[in-house]
Amino acid sequence: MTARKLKNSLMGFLVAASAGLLIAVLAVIVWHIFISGVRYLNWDFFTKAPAPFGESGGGVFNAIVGTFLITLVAAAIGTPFGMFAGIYVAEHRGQRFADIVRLCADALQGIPSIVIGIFGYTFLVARFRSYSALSASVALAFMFVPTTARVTEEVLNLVPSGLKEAAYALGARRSSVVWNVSIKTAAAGITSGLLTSMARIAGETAPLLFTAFGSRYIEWNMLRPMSALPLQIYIYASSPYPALQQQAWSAAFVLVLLILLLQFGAKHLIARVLRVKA
Amino acid sequence: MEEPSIVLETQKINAWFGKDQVLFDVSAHIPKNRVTAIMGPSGCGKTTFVRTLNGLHLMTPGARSSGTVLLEGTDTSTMDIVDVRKHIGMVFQRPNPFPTMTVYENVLAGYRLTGQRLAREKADQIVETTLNKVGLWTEVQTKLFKAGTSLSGGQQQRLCIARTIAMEPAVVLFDEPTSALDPKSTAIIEELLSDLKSEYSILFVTHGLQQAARISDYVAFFMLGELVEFGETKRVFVGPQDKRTEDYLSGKYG
Repeated sequence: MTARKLKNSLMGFLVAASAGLLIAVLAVIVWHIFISGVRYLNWDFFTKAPAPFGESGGGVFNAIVGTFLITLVAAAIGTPFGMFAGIYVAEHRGQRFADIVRLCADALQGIPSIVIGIFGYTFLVARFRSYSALSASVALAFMFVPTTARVTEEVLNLVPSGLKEAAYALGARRSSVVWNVSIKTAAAGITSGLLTSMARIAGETAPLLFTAFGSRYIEWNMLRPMSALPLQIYIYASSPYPALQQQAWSAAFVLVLLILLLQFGAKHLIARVLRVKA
Repeated sequence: MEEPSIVLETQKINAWFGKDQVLFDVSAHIPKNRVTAIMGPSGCGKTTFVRTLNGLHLMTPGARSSGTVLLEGTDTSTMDIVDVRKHIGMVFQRPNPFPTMTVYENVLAGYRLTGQRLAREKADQIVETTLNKVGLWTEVQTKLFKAGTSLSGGQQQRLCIARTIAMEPAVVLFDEPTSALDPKSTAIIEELLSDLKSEYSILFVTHGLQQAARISDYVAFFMLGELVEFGETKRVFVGPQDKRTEDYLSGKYG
């Protein structure tokens, strides 16, 4: 075998092995969580609040409610801001202010979530003198806005310029072209971006530590402390009780399942967008 | 053939992309209810010329233009751009029906995008007569509520023509509308033009000499951003007055 062929097959092996490793890492994590978590799943786990200390049983319904409420409210706050910013940047491509907005979105995405958490604590929790689910949603919205803005911009840029020109040539004004052509054509892609952003914030822990704080009770009031799955996992996993550690695995399983579902939903929608384009 | 009246007059149109000037003092009189072919080699400014007529040229970042366009005697710069585009419709190189709209909605897209509401009966009637005008009605009658993009390429282009003439423009600009189509679809659209010109004045950009000869009553020959020659198609093809036209027609370049 010549040196060239040897190099070629060596590189081929390395590339394939790295690709395989990626699958293996995901498989190990998912498999382990599944094995460790699924054993302790039962009806109570999904429907009951944590049992009082010292008693067995109980569930994480409080955390499931919290994750849904906090994530949905964060998305509700962040969606308009993120989408409008994305539309602005896409519609003013090449202009200075749009470039600055894009740069800021990228920078905001890079801010560690713990810093967002401290920010939420200082400006919301400390000011209103109370931990609350709402302050958690606001903190998470800060993480939701930049990803949503960037995805919206990218998907809008995928809308063929020929469609927009056709609309202008028919006498449409800019606002009409943006709403009736660009956004409608990109709707599935934007929705997909929203789901991806939701998946991202649903798993965040650090901002919640400083804001939602956690609660042992099933809480529906956004102005009070509330639990969430990542918080519950953090508290249970670091507790000394084996029963709680097992519940942490089960909660991890539920959280990962939720996030993977959101991401698969997003992928499915993106596939539809690409079909429309082709 | 009696002299047709003039629907569109351009006076000294100049156009630029950034610092590159692509049109130089183009003055032309476009006859009413005739097909005028705009021909010339690639990059001669044909497409830019038609895009200056409905203001699309200026939507390209860095693009500028000067000169006057008179639509039936009215300076278009004094009109609202929406009205200009309602009177000067455009069909593009690639068929581009709106993918989120049905065939029916695509025909009425101009009304919807400009916020005009139509009564159901009126809407149905516009869709039927317009699709009939482009010879699509019998083909798509049963597919009215399917996506416009589900039609074949040639049908999509005729749908785009329908969408344009549904707005009852005076002038329709065609920017190489058959260059992405197969020969059969091309022939159908070429035949359509002779029907359409009884109601609309047509400017048809093409780089095909044969196509220009087949379809047009008048021809404008562009080179390097200048309008070199304008006249009745028969006259220009048989006896070009400019040396550059003659060279182009005899295949010396292009």
